[in-house]
Amino acid sequence: MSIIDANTLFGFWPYRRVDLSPEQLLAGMDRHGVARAATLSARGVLYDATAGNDETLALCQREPRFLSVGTVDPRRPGNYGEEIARRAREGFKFFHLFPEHQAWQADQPAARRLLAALDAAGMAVMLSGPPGIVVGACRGLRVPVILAGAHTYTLSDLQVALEECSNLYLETRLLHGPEVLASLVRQFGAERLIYGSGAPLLYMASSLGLVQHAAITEAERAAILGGNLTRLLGGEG
Amino acid sequence: MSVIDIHLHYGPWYFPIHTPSIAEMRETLQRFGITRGIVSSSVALIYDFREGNRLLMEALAGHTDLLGYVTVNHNYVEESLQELETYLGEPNFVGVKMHPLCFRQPVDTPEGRRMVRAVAEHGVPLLVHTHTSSLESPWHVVPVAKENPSLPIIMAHMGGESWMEGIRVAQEVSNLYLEPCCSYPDADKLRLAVDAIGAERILFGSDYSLLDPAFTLGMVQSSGLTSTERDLVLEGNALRLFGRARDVWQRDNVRS
Repeated sequence: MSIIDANTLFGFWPYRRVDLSPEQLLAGMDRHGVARAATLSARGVLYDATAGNDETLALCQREPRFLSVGTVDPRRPGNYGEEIARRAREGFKFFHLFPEHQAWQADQPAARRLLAALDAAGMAVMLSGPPGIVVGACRGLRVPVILAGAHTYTLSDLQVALEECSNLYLETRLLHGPEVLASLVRQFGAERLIYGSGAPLLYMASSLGLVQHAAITEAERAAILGGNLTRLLGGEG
Repeated sequence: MSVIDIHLHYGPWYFPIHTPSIAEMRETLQRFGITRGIVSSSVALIYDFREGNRLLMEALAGHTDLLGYVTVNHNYVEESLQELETYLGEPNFVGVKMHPLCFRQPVDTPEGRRMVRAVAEHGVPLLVHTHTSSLESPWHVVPVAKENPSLPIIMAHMGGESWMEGIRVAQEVSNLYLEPCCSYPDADKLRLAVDAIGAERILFGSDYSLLDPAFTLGMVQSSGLTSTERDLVLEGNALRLFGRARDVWQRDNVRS
């Protein structure tokens, strides 16, 4: 089974002392048997999306185990479509947006415009937020939307959201209630779940253990741990 | 390695997750090598603490691998003092649980202080929920810990997202202990905690049946602890702190 982590980052983290170097990320991947990781620069999350995307591109060109993920900060006015198109040409796989770190929500006007631009470019998007707001903002989009940090405590909302939005996928990192993963697989199929860890900011083993110990078939486990992301990205993993 | 889980729950939650029976709990825990544990009642935390304590006592009857916390609600001091008398006379209740968020009152109010003093007089450890909001901040635990220096107080969740505050607080008072389960699996937090206060003051708790044991065990297993440190966190410290539990487990030869 080839494990792909859909949610990692590298760079510098000002909020606490932590090693976010690519070397640290690779060491964690090796320790836990993770073959590849979708990643992006923390600079793009916290300070400058374009400069961060440049750093991501440079790293992913240097290290083939990393898949390049773009980001855009909707607080900065600009031509979102131009940045998205440029990164698509450069081989970026999807875009990860960070409302939790940038103090916006997906239903705000600029965020809606950004989501529309990603949709027009056919670029899958990962973002966090309350399920109701994310689903409301993404309704009508055709591209896959991966809800990062989908949380057990919002499980009833997540279940309704999965029913209502066929293009919605859940990142598994905080689906940490007992039997929650298995239950979602039974209800919606394994294809709606995507493994992501938040490493090296977060312990990779916590999120990985949830999938590895879940009472699901090996085929379902393989889909969550990499197969689904590969499929969403058009076969490239 | 035989693991002791000092933060377990029995009873239904308001989330659409399965409510395991004691037998199902045991089966799940054993899959992770967790052979012993200490449980509080979800009903006691969410609604009526006396009803919850009673239901827990009934559920635990005949099971000495899983022992109980008496939950006290410091909005009801006299009734809570009575609960201590009732349940700490039972061999399978070995500690006390307080939850400032569930009961909307910090632990260092006059009522909270009276409650903690009573727990200290009973000579069993106290598990206090600590988390991110001001109501449940680790700093509220400092005064009651200083007032009761012989009482081991375990800060459940080690402050949640405010885990760095949890570590700082534990550095200030030597009878404070940390337990790491929560939805913030920030890498390095266990290593930093061990470096700051020593592995002797950190205990493993999973928060099952609310959280999957794999989640918090993953933190411990990937935290870079030495095998000696890991053994203390996963088993040794619980045996040292929970003397009544240790006696029951030794008496009944409960280990694996």
